[in-house]
Amino acid sequence: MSRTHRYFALAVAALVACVTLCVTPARAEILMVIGDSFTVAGAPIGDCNANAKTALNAVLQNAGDNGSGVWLAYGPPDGTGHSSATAAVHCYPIDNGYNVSFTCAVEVPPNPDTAEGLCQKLAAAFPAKKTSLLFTSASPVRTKR
Amino acid sequence: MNVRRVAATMVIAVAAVLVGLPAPAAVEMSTGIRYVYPSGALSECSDKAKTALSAYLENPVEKTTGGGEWSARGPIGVTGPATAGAVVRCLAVGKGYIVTFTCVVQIPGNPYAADALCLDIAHNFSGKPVKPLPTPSPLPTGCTTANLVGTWTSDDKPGLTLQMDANGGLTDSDGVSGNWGLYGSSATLTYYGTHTMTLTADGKHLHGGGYSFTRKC
Repeated sequence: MSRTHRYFALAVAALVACVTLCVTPARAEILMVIGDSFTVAGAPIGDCNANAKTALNAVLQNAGDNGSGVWLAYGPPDGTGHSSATAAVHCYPIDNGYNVSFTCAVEVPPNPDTAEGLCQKLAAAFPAKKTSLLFTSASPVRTKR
Repeated sequence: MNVRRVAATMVIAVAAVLVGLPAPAAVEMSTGIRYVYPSGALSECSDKAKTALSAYLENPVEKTTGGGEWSARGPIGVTGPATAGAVVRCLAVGKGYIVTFTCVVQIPGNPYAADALCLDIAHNFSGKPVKPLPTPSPLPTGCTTANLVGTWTSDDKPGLTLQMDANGGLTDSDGVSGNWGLYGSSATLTYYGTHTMTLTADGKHLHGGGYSFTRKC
């Protein structure tokens, strides 16, 4: 084997080793987060359901509910039909408004986003009037009937 | 000619690596269980939430102290990355509270489904009978031919050991991770490439693909 061929073989070996190391998968981990929770005053529960569907479909896809204000959606599947992101939105009527909460989970890798990031996108996509928010999960307030 | 041969080898090696990668896992979420308690304090809900989560997962934490929103990861007793998680949210309403349960598991890689996890956490919370969840397979100490779980020592590379776990993962003595698969006596190791190896009938030796290991048992 000539010197040129030896150098080429070394370069190929290095490339194969690099590719091998790069594609060896890291162990996947489930990350789950408690997202925002807030109450919207003066709005029917139907608004929450509509907004939940809108937000989930904006960030994930194929949002569906169980008929009682609990919404669920998954991220787009990869080439093998697997999804690495999911989120739930809970709507519950309170007084003359409703409470909505977000819960998110991702599998990392391969998902490029964090569970926190996913929930922030969901909350931002939830088209509630910010002026009508009563409280957030950071400062819970008991409601009275 | 040699250049072509080397190039062909490279293509085959890269293809083998890519084809040999394990199928990716997915997330599965369960949601929908919600209890309404017409009377009771939020602290009562929090106490029960923490207890219920502790029964199935590890280290339940409250997002904000006194806020009533709890999360935990697991499963219990399994080291390594989390493959399950759950959130229990308590919300004070009137003189009572509502509580919701949301669970997520990685599939495959978790011994139970998200629905089963959430149902048991909810039933633990409410005091209803629970159905025992499958527990993760205990690490066998023997040289079983059913899996490659255990500690493997290289026969020809001093200092090299592989720790293979029940979830198909492996870690070497330098912390480099990979995966293993076993089909009959034919094993596949994704570790600096994909290697096809043979497990001996006594379950103690693994060789092929440029490696040779002996299992501690």
